[in-house]
Amino acid sequence: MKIRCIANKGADLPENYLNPPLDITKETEFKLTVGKEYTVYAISEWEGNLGYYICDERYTYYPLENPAPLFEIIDGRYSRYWQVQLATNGLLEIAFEHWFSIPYFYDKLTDGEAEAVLIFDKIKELMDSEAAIPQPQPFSVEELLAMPPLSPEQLAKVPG
Amino acid sequence: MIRGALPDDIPTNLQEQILLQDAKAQPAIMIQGGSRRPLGDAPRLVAHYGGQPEDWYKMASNQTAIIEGYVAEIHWYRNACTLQNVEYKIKRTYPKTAPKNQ
Repeated sequence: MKIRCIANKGADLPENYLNPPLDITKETEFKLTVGKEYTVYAISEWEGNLGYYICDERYTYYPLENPAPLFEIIDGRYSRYWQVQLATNGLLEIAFEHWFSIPYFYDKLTDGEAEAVLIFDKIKELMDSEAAIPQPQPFSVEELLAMPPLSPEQLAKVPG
Repeated sequence: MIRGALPDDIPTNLQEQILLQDAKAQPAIMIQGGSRRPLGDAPRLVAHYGGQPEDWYKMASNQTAIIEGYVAEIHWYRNACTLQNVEYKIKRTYPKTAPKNQ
């Protein structure tokens, strides 16, 4: 999944995204370049606020969450490395498997724990490669309806 | 067993000292925390500084600095109710080295 930055200031955000005790105000300047495309490594939704975890202009070794209203989606394909999890507290997240299977993964990653950093490095490499593959042209309705059924041999060759 | 309060890191050079001063003076970046994704350290922070686990967030400096071959940034914890900031750490990232051929 790829997104393009369309704004980088707190003033461009809906009120519900602002949080002054955490320094997210109308004066906040996010470390984003307007017009630049970013690969999305994880998505989270919490109480109506949607965020994308990307490697922004401040990237050191971990992706940071940035508010979704600052972006437009330019490639909405779902990564093959993603899973969905709805936590008991209502946090909805889409991320790679280790994000969920390793307890406190993002906490460990941002702390700089070596194993978590190496895992994210590798996942980033894989997801960057995946995102670089051009989107196939979608079939028109006419093309789809005119297609003959696939044979079992052809179905077996469809990438999973 | 809950660990004790951790002291602030001490800068090892002038650039780190300036980065730390700027982190304390400027708006920060919230990394994670709160009731949404509680910190692993939240019980320890509550035990030593008070508040509720969901009050605590991990913050990062707005700025990073490239210093003699590594990138430095500052991380710390903030209680979003009291705005208390504690345990400033200097995170140093060194460039990766390519694995040697066997």
